[in-house]
Amino acid sequence: MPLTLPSLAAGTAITFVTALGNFGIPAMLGIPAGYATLPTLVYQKLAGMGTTVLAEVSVLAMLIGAVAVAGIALQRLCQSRQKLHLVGSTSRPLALPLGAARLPVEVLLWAVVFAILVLPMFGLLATSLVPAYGVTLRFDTVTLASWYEVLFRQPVTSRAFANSFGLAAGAAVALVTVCLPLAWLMERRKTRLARLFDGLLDLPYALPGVVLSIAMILLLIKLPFTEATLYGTIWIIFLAYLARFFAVMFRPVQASLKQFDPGMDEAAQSVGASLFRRLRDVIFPLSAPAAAAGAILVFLTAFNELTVSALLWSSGTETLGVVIFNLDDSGETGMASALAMTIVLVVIVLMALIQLFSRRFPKGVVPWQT
Amino acid sequence: MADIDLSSVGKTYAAMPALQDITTRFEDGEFIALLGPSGCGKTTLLRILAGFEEPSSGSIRIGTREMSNAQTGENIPPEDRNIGFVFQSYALWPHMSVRRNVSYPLEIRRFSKAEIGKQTDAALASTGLEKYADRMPSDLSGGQRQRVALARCLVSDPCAVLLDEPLANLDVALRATMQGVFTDFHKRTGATMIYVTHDQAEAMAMADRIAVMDQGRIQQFDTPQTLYERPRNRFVAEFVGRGTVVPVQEIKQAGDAQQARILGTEVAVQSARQEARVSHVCLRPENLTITESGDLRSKVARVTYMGGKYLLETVTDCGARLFAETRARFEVGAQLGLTITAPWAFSED
Ligand SMILES: Nc1ncnc2c1ncn2[C@@H]1O[C@H](COP(=O)(O)OP(=O)(O)O)[C@@H](O)[C@H]1O
Ligand SMILES: [Mg+2]
Repeated sequence: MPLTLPSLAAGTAITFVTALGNFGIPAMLGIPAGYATLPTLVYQKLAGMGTTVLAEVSVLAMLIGAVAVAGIALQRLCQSRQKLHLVGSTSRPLALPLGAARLPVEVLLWAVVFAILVLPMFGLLATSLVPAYGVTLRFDTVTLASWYEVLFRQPVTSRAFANSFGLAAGAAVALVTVCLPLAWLMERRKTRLARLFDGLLDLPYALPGVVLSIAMILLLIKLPFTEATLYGTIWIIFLAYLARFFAVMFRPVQASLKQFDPGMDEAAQSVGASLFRRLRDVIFPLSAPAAAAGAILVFLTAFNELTVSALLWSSGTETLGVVIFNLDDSGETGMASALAMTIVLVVIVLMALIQLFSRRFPKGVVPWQT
Repeated sequence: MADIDLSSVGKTYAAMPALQDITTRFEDGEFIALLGPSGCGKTTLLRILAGFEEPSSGSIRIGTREMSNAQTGENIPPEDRNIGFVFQSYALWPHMSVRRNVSYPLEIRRFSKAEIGKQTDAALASTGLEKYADRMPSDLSGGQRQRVALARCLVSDPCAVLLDEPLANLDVALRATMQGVFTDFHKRTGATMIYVTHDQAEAMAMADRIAVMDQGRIQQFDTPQTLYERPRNRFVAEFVGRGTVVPVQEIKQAGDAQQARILGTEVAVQSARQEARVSHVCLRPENLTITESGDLRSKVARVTYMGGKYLLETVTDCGARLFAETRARFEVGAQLGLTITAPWAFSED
């Protein structure tokens, strides 16, 4: 216990920050029950009155941000303590023989996993197959009407699919292009600026999405020196995604570059290769697996994103998360479930495809395999 | 091809000096070894020569080009120096085949396809790698990998080749073969080679001249034979070969020869002409003969069989540890007499 205490504390702190900023769950479950959290309050105000309440919600966002930053600071403090503890540790995993208690403990643990992951899926599936919410699922009540309606009748769905796909793929590609050279330069030239940037880099991802969204609105509602605004266009969501998922892309790339023998770059240098040639011929190919891993993660995360887009969408720029949320909000639980199930299936198919090709990829590309 | 001139080169890391006041000259085509204990600044010196680090003081000239000058802040980047570098970690590019690793320097120089093919084949052949051309570096043994690194150096026709402990990761048997590969490389290319090692046998076997380094300074820069026979100070005397440094108790000038009292016995010593007052002598096994009547009484503390002869570690009555060699076997604890002949003397403050 004393040894794992810092990790536990760090985990608690980050869970706190995540829960504080979570929007989807309280929005779907809390708003109908009249139970508000800070993020849903921001959402309701902004959705109800538009940008006139911007000042007011900014204060709320600042409040969430401040609490979250305190949480993150606490988490970092705990983690730095943990590093001290782990010096000289052995790599043998800790094994506690449970003896006869092993079977019940295992059953219990699997039951928890089942309850958390599998049961909601079944609920989702069941809801999507009945004609109206509340009807019990029996053989004579099974219908694919919700599926049909949401997938083929509602134009918003295909629009949302296109939007989400474009946003996720675009963010993944843009982040690969930016993060590779940037991570390389930061690794080679450890200036004070680079270290400061390194420290701040996780914030857009760790901070609640609401805070980032409000910040984005404030930043982009009126572009400096022009009358143009990005608010209400898909670009504001895109830029917000870039900021939010920057760390998701940057960290794996950075980790791979850190393991890199600097001699490989220096050897290229000594045979006369310019910085551009070295980046192109040595550094990019070698960090490509990590970049691909980051891109896959960014894509999957962005594809399912709700919090940021919920505050930034407008008619025509809906994302899948927003469509599900709106369907559910307007009582179309069946259709919401059908669409949610579709997304789960799409993600599973994508993961399966990646898995299928994983043997052809270099080691380390597939993020869920180590 | 070029000679290398260093003038008062120094390097400090966070106020800690890693190199101090290095002024020396490496002649064109020489095989130089930098020898010294770990942390003495060998790698730092090599990296400054290659341009990976900038000196904190002093300047470096290679051939007619000034490469670095701490005063003017001028520093030619490594890619424009045409200096080959061989790393202890091999530093091959793991995503390129052996052939591509070797041909890459030629690609950079925009040679024609035919020319690249020809030169790559020649380099692979001269390092005995023809059979492995299409393998990936990860499928090669350590020795083969270092050959690839050498072939990669060879094609770029560098004016100097810097090698940082290239054999440190290989086992002893392979080292001897690879030493041959390096000396062949040197003979064939005639390039100036600077070879860093902490293994004196390696340095002795390969180098024309050895720079012995300690604490960021070159302590002595001479041929292997001179280093062994005429060390300039205590560090070199004890670091190179087996030697014990003992103080001179009294010195008398007898014409050209110097007569010294060492460990209570009178001995004629040799020293460099400019050494006015020698203070210490270096006693090597060659300077000690075991005789019944030897007036330096000592006791055998350890016996090591060296193949055909024994190395004795003896302790004299006054407590000095001396190394002697003998063909006859002695038991630990045996008493014997030693006679000192013509040891090398130097002065130390
Ligand atoms: N990048 C660096 N930063 C700080 N100190 C360094 C760095 N490189 C080398 N040093 C220091 O300089 C000294 C010489 O190092 P080095 O040249 O690597 O020694 P050697 O190669 O002879 O073992 C050492 O004390 C080492 O700690
Ligand atoms: Mg070194």
